[in-house]
Amino acid sequence: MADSSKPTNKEADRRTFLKIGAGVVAGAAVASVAGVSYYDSVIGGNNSSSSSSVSSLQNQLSSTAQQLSSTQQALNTAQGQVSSLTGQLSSAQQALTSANGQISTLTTQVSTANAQAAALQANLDSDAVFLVLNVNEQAELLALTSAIIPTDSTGPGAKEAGCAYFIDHQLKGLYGNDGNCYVGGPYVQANTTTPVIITDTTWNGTTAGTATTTYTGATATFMSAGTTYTVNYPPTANVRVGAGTRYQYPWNKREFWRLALAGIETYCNATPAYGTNFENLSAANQTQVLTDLWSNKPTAAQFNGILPSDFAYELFFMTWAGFGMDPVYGGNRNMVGWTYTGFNGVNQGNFYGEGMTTKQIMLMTTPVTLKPVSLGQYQKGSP
Amino acid sequence: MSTVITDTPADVVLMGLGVMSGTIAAELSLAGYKVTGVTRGPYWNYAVDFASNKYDEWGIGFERKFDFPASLQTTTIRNNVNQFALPARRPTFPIQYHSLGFGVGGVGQHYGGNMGRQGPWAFTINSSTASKYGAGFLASINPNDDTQDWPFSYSQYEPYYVAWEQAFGISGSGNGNVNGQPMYMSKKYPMPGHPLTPLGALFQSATESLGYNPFPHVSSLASAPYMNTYGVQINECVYDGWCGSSCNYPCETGAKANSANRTVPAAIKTGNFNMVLNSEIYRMDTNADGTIKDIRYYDSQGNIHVLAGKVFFNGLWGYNQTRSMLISGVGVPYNPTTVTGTVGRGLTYGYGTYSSTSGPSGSVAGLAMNSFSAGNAAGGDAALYDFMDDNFDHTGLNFVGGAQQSAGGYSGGGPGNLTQAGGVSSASQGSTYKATQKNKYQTGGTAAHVSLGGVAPDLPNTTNYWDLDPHYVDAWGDPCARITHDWTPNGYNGATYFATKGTAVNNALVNILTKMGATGISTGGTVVAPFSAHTDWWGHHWRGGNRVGSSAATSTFNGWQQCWTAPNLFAAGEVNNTTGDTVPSGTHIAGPQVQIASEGMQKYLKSPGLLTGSLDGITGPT
Repeated sequence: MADSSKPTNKEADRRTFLKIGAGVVAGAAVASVAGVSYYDSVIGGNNSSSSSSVSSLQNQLSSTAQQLSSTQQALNTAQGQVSSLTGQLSSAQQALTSANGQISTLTTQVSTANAQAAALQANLDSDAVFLVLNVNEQAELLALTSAIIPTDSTGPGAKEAGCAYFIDHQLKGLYGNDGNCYVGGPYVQANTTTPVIITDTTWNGTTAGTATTTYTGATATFMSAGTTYTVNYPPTANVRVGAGTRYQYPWNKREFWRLALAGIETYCNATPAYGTNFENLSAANQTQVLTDLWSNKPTAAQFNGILPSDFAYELFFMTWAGFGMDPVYGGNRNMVGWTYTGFNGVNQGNFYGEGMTTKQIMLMTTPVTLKPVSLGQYQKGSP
Repeated sequence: MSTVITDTPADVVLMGLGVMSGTIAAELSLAGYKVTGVTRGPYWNYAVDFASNKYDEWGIGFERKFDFPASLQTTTIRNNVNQFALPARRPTFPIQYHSLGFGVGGVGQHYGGNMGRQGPWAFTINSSTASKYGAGFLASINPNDDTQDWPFSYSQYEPYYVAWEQAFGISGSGNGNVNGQPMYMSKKYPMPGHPLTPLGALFQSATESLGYNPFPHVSSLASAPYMNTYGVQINECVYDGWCGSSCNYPCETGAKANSANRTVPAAIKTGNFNMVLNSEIYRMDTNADGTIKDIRYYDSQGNIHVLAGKVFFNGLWGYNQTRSMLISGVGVPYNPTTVTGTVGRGLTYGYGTYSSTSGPSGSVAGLAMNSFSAGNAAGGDAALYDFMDDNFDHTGLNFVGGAQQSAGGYSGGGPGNLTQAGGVSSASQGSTYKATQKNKYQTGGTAAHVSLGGVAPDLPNTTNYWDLDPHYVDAWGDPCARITHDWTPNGYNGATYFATKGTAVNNALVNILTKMGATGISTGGTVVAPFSAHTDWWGHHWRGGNRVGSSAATSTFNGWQQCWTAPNLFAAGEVNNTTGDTVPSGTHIAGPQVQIASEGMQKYLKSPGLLTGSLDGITGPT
């Protein structure tokens, strides 16, 4: 028994096989045990005197029982493994579900961001609209502003900032209408070269001064280090009243700009070296034309009676203003002007969580550049 | 036709409710008098009106959305009597700087807040120059000289400085040297000086080690919370950088001193103060004896109001004070041909007379200048008085006075994009110029530029004056003010001396730069001759033209700020004093005058008539 109870190597191999194959052969093993029981009862019923045969059958039964037990153990083990694998599978499925959720969320976010970008672009596109200038003037002004602030290797220029739109929008509003300017006459140009004869105004029932005054200009002297210097005014009565009086025209700024823009095209076409509209000229010639304006090359007839340098100032001033004013006015789009110049806009040190105050920055010994904030962002309280 | 409405008469009638009138409103209503003040504009509630919409450089700097519209009134300017004076047509920077105040607070809503006491010299330019450099000296350096002593000395004025500073709320730590000794102050400023930028601190330490007396920028922006002498609580500056300088921003915290946040609230609290808003004063009416009977103004409906009072204070700003007197026939108009009369006489320009000065300069390595951060009167720079007034010897020189020296102040005080845009020339085009604008708000990372020198003061003469323009009128049909003014040689000669290598002051300034560790030091360049640039600056810092003095023949007001010919009319402001070196001349110097006027008006109400005797001097030495 002892020997028979001790598994042979073959039995051990077989157990191992059964153990390994338990999941697959379990049904066959049970059928085998049933067969033994059936055989035992038949023999016992027909030949009870044959004890050796019984003993042999008992051994076989015992062995089969062992096999059964072993198979049962293998089955338990296998079931444990199945349970474990099922658990792992469930866990993996949960993780997958979670991942799918995250992907969905991210997709939504991307979609939202795309929508926002589209909306922003739409806003920009809706700002990129001319309200005053005609199609010819638009092309001319785009070229003029780009010649003043070119797009180059150092960064965006008037084109990206939308300086032409800034100017056009201002021409539609207060600036174009001279809404906050003194517009009363008489209109006398600062560079008048003949004596100015003016009829005096009447107020409070009386005439101020004499009825008519003639201003002829004069010579003035001043003394420095013992030397007397003479300053000549004649025959210009008011030549000394210079830069501060630059704008002395009877037109509002909208009319002024349109007259001057037409004057530039007239000048460019009439000048042999150019011979075409400003916007069609080479970059070098465009630069030269701008210089011509400052040095008053266009004639009064070509320039509709406007002193070209007066318009050059206005053009340059408004172009640079379009680069540096808040985006709400139509220029400095995407705050490219502020980013270029290193200006903070309305970022007072912590709008994007930089954790500083302007007072701290004022005292710092290192250069600080803050990402700019527009007035609109500031009032909204978020980017 | 306009309806004429007779207002309830008041004890005290105030013309305008800006910085000067606000102090009278507080003082006289606290003293129990019934006070009525009339202003063109609204009463600004700074915390509400400016909190979110002030960060608008175009709207404020160019369109002047919080100022009086220039379309309604302008000023004309010319350089001599043979010229036709042209009007300023734009409201503002960059081309024509007109920015008139609007409403309670006046120009104090948007000014820079630069302050600083004027030392003893400017009170006695005439007599002290004559005694030290000879009787004919001033006349020899200033053709058609018309300088006058003030009717009081620094020591008589000093107690009124204290009263003004404690009420208005001045931030500062000291005030520089007078002939090598710290200027006498019987009481410190109520708030400490603002912090210094790295360059300001370097200038401070370098000049201190050379034996000078530097001090931080004196300012009317509160550096700390403070309750003033009228019981008004003042908030401190937040240094947001959107402040003064070229674009002139209103202050949303109330740190920037003006009548709306310093004085008028105290007046309102008394129950004795009546405020008339959105109304345009156009005339003073006089009694047979010359005293003021009433003022007339248009209300916002176009009705005419007649407001009578016992005593009147003309607190209108700059040329409008002078203009209102000329239009109303109060005082004797100045006649430049006969050099008689006083209203309009002695006009000077009190601020940086030439655009290009070219004094000693150099660069200091390794100091950032984040110029977008707080600046201007919010502090930053340290200053010296050692090279102004008569604090150095002028023997053998051809000018008087000098210039305050300072370094470290950020140009900022506002974004300054408009300044840049307004400063364009034929060079402002193309990639080369554009590159100069790259990161311009973070200059100094490699080298901070320091420029010293400056311009000596514009001196009064008989050819610079105000009158009424015969050709241009305001929206109500009254004549605009006309400025006839050209630079006197004093400023140019002083600037030339500062910029000339080897002069005593030039050497001293170069030494300061050396001590600061500056490299690439230039001793100075050619000073641009006078008669080159002037008329870009129309509106602010006109000084004199309606002076206080000791004689009715040469001044409009006596030492009590009382009109010689209309004894119930008082006034105070920059136009009521005369030239000096403290740049900008400004509110701090005129402020004590309103304290004097307050005392004078109370004396007058008790005993009408021309006041005599010297100033009482609230406290302090004689």
